[in-house]
Amino acid sequence: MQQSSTLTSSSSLCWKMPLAWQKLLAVCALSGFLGACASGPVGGPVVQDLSLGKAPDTTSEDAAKAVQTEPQASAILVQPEMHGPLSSSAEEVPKEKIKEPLAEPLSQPQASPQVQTKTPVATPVAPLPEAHQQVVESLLYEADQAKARGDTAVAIMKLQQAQRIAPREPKVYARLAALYLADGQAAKAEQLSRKGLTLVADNAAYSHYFWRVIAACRRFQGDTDGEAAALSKARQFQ
Amino acid sequence: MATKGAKFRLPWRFIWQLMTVMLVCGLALLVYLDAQVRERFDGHRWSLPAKVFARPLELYVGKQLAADQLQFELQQLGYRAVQQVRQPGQYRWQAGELDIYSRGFHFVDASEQAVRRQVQVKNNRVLGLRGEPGQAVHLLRLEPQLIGGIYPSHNEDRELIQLADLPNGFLETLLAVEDRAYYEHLGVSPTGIARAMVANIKAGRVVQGGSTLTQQLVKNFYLNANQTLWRKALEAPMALLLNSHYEKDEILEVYLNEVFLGQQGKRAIHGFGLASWYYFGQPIGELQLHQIALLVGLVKGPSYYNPKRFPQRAKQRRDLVLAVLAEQGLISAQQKAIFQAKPLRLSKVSQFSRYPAYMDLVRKQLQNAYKAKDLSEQGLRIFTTIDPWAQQQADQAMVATVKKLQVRHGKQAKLQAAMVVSQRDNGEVLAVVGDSNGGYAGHNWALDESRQVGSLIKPVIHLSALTSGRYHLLSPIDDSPLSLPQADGSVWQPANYDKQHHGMVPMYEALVKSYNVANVRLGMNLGVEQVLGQLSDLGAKQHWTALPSRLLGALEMSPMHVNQVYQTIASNGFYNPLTVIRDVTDPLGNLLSHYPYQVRQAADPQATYLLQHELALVGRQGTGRSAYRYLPTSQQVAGKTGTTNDQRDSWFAGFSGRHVATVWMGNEDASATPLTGASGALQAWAALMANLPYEDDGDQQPAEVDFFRTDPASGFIIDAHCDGLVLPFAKLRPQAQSNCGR
Repeated sequence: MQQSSTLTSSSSLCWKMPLAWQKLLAVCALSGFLGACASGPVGGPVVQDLSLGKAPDTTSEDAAKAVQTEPQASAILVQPEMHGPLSSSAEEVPKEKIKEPLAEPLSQPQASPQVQTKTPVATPVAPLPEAHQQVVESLLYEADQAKARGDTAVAIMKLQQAQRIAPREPKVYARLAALYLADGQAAKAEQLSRKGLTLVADNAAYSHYFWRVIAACRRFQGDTDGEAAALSKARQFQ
Repeated sequence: MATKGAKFRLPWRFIWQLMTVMLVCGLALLVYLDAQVRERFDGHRWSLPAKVFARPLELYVGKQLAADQLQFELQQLGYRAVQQVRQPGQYRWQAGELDIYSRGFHFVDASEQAVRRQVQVKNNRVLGLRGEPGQAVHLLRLEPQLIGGIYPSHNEDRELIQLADLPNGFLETLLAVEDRAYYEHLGVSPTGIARAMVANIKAGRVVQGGSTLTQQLVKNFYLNANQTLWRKALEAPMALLLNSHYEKDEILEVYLNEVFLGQQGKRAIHGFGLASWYYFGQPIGELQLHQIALLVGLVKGPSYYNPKRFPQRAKQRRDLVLAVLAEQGLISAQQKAIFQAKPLRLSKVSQFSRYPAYMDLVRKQLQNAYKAKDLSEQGLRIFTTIDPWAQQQADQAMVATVKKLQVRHGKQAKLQAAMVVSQRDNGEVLAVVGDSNGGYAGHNWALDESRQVGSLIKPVIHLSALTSGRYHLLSPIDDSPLSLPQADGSVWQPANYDKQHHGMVPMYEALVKSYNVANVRLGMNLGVEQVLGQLSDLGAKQHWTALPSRLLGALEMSPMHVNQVYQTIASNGFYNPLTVIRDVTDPLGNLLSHYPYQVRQAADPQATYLLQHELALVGRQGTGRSAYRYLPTSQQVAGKTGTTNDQRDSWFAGFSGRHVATVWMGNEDASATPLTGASGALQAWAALMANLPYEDDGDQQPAEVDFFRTDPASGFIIDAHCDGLVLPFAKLRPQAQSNCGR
């Protein structure tokens, strides 16, 4: 509809001023040629390149706010780094604050999980029972795999996914607690263990396990009395 | 005469000078245009509004899933029901067996491939999940629904696509109709113009345009809508320049994403990628030829041929496009007939402003972390916790209940309402209803309005009492008249709703029947400070001065804040902050923010367990029992009604299965309503719960808690064979007595 009128006007121009038109075309071609030579590899507005690099004023400070707006809601692994290279993937986001490798064996319940403590109280913990749902076991497995390749962020996401599917499955809390403890977030790991304890009634294996983790958390935070109290609780469930 | 001849002599010198000046000017203009064309094309990045996604639907063995919900979710995602599942986006649902081909999606934690799965559903529960033979499959995560965007002022929206995303026949159709010689011409097409002129002369009106796609792009891309003759004159040379600098495919790809194809309210639909979602609710790769023809036909006039407003006109246009394809030999006459016979079948799902109250909450949370400009331009992907089914049910329950109340009590012009639904044990907000219409216009009654909570405070008093270790559920509480001298010299005498006093009542009964006087006396014994401290531990954000009237809920909270408090009670005394966002990523899926699971012990788990039991009794035999008009008796309901002075506010907050929900109703101007907590808010609450999947995770009785049969009248534990009420007790227990307490 609208398009034709433009073209007819330029085409009538074309007949009245053939010379000028030819020159115009010639110049077009020339500038095209020059342009092609001068601009090197011509990069159009390539659809796949949705660069955030252009974001002018988002600082990592803003990003940090993303998680600090509510202290309790703070994110563990957030670095909204909008200037950052596009290649940086989620996997590269976290990994910090690991003070010492604690509780590593906790993530492998089949292999006699046990909190690695400095004090020699190495009583092997019985393997945790199977989760009620297979889907939970498979997500725990995926979390283990992610953790094994150093991808804590994905491991946590997988465990959260499992928590949503089975919010009262103690094994999920056991794994989350172990993961956070290994990540140096002892206070959070203790809270998760406490929540886990409310889901297991008097199940000895879990109660023992959670109290052991709580003991390790307290030791990590320098609370030796608390650690001793937790260990004595753990012993009740041996 | 000679002078006359001299008069007619052409001023050649002047003409040449003029032409030289024009040539120089023309050259300068060209150089300028050339720079413009390249700069804009090279440097262009579209402003992409942030996309907001719902939680993905996950299917696994054991999942509660009603057929209704399944159909709803698939419809929202634009899946097509077919007889034979062959490609992504299709499903077949028959006799409890879902055969589905998912589309795949790039999640933060993993990239889900498009896969075909068989899901067996029986009695509203997933019983089986199968993939390829020999392959163990435990989980099918469908792509999340897009529920909205965060738009800049100009409201331009698009879903970027690449040439590779186009379905078969798309390019052929587009070029056949808009620009047959696209791959041959230099940016403008004299033959195209000639053909258009002939067609227009024949028809006696403008039926074809002579613009090439390149020119159309130039017009949209470089020249603003405010067309002047000058701008039109630039169109052709700029098209030539563009064509000389860039590959045909590059130009085409930009065109596909730039072209304007419709308007939805303030939101402008740009590009075929978004148009496909907007008109058909499907990704463009899944479109069939008649759908392609409709979209291509729209280029000529998106408003005039708007299929949502003028379906007949749009169908004619579509059929014309199909006819052009047949005329050019791209399809057979038979194919033409088949496709022309197909109905338009437009998507009824709107991806825009579907859940305004929830989006309001998302926006508020994001504002704290991201700049408005980044949200509206950087193409961020926001993964929220909204459960579209729960949201849909919440909206419907609210609208239906308010309608019923209007019938019963006459028109309540000023009646407002709000609802918040969250997931127990993790605090994810699943749904928000912002007003009584299930919509939201400016004032979000779930977030922006704080009202007195009335009896909703009573469970907090009981939690304090149980935590103190001095009370158990049968502890006698005095409900006889009470006078409390106030700081201003007056005397406050709280009264019960039934204007009666009930003497000594067991503690649980004071809650179940919501006796004001007994609860105030209990609260005074504990101390108002103590109770308010407990309230803030549970997650209340405000602080109040310690006045006795607080014990009857003379403190204002929003439905969202109330829900936070009940969330903590439902989660065994563990506080999970209510959250609406799981992750934020850039357009490529790189993680920017992750909001992890948060948990903090806020109350004693044993005391909370006892309180949960009390709240269940409210549902079984107390003020909440009318919930069972909607729910089966096998379903556990635990919650509390709230009614404020003069029935200004009607509340119900509680939990059932995996859901915590709070409903508030009241007049806009806080005037009296005909509603109590039970006759108003509870009705909407129960109507909602009746339509949410109910998952009973069982009762995790703490190790130190035991159940005993009791005689509430005498307050003794009695023998198991006697008639009586079974109640849980922690360390502090009533005395046991034989003879069934007589």
